[in-house]
Amino acid sequence: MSNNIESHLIENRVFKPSKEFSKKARIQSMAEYKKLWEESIKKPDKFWAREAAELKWNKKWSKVLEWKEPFAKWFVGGKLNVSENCLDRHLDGPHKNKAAIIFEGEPGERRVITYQQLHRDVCRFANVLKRNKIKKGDRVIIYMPMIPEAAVAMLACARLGIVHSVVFGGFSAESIKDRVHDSGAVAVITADGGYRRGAIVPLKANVDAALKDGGHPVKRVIVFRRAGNEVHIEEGRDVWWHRELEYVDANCPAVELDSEHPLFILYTSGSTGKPKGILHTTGGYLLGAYTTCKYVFDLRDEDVYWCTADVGWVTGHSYVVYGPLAMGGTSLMYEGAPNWPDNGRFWKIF
Amino acid sequence: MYTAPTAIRAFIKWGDEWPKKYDLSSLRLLGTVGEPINPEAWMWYHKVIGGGRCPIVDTWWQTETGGHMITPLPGATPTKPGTATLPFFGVDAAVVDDNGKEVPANVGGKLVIRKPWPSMLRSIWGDKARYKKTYWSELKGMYFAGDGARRDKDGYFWIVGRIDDVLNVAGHRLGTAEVESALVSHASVAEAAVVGRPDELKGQGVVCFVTLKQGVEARQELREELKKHVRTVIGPVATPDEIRFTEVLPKTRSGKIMRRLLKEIAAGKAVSGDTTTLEDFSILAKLSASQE
Repeated sequence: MSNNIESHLIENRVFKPSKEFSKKARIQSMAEYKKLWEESIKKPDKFWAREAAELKWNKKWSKVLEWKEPFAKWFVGGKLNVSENCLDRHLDGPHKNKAAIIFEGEPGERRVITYQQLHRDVCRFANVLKRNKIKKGDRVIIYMPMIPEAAVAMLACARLGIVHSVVFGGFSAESIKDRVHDSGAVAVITADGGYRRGAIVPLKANVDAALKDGGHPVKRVIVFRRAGNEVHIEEGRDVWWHRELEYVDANCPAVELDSEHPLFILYTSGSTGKPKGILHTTGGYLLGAYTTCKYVFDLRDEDVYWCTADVGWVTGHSYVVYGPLAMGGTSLMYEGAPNWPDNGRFWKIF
Repeated sequence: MYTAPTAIRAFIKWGDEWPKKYDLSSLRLLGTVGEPINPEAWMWYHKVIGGGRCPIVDTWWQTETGGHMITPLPGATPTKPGTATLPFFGVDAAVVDDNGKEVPANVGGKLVIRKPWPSMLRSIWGDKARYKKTYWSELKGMYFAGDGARRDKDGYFWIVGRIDDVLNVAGHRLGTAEVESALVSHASVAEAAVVGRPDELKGQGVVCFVTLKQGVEARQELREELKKHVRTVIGPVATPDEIRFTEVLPKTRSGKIMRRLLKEIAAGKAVSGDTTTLEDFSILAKLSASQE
């Protein structure tokens, strides 16, 4: 008996891209796709070196790929910084005053953050991290609502070579605890609370519960004030984000990092066993997020682009934060549920 | 706009009047991510949200892959509802049998990647051995992360579901995605999750958990109608043994259906293991009581 899987559902409807869309697209025909795909498979070094040249490198790589199955090193010897590629790179020209993030909170408030402003926010927060003795190679848990400060925290970590592990704001204290222990995180970045269907999710209280038994390396908890709910502040461990900002300036050069320096760990729960900490590194990851935004979303300068995923998932990493910002795009972030206050919320955002 | 099929099915359930109240004409491109999209949900997204005008990129990828792996390119690839179409640049994807040999067109197998790509995971944090074992040991020289697929005559990839969830009914191996898509193509159904349960005669029986569109009543006749519908669309081999109506399906907050729980419920067992990622606990009791 064959062990293959049978298929019975055959779909015959075909939808071709409109001429109008194709005319402006980066890849306009199947012939073009096939040609480039062939090249990317037969001469991957040539293809990826050409794409990688669109990013900013502090030092060029000596070798595109070193493959010792199953361990890969991409852009061996190359040095770059993800945050510099997502921010500083766009400050020289007209993108400086372009919206990097458009944010809508669940209660309805809107903020537009330009590349220049986001750069400033990230530099200041990176200085807060430094001030709190968090350094290159350290791991930090980010447990935040879907607000721009989540992206600020990620980019500030990336700026200093700190490895972030974002834990989805809907996860429990138990999940935070597992991830703190597995990653050996020295700090947690969180908020007092976030909004979900009109209620406040008590994020800080969950962090407290996760850390209460001790036996972990967390020395610092940085708390952003979002929802205004009352929270416990543990003397000597917890600090307020806004208070810390009073002590820092906005001058923070990005640290030159090896192409294979760890960028983030993201845990997947899986159906069995303990969560797996999926490790992504600097150069190859950024290039993947960048090229897919460029070719798959065909992201244009005039676009406002909205990925509805939370930053707690890989989709939020690659397609809310790193990919669109590396492209100099405008990324829309919405904090809450699609059915609050009614089932039309998503469409109203348009 | 880039969103998940689970959200799209919720929009369908809530009714067309919601998006129709607003002007969506500025939309240029639509995308989906997270699981294979049922063809009927794809058609709704295309028509009601995209105004029949916007290309849809149905993207297959994983946390492990870092970025899109199988996806249309919106200005080039002719799309078909329900398929992620073709590999992205640098992605050497294939569908293979248990020996790593490519299977013929329209036969399902394991979805693998045969070459490294820039945004691939580098390891599992602190556990290189587990990384190697989990992703690179099942098939020699290939990355395999649990999904099954088939390629059609045009080489397009159709994800059939997780290999672990594949049904084995009287010697026929069937992907869950197809049976679910068949159910969702019925006018009364909003969402469906299909699992196998042990069956002495057939090996496995087909149990379908179904949520209905707003205003549709859960009647016994509808159960029979849905069984007949699956029979017609897919064939007698996939005929559901049981249809269980439920108001909601057990999902993680990222919208993934927790099939493990459904398998346990379908087999009449108590739910065990980790349920901490479940969005709404109260539905476990309701699901257990939903038996035919």
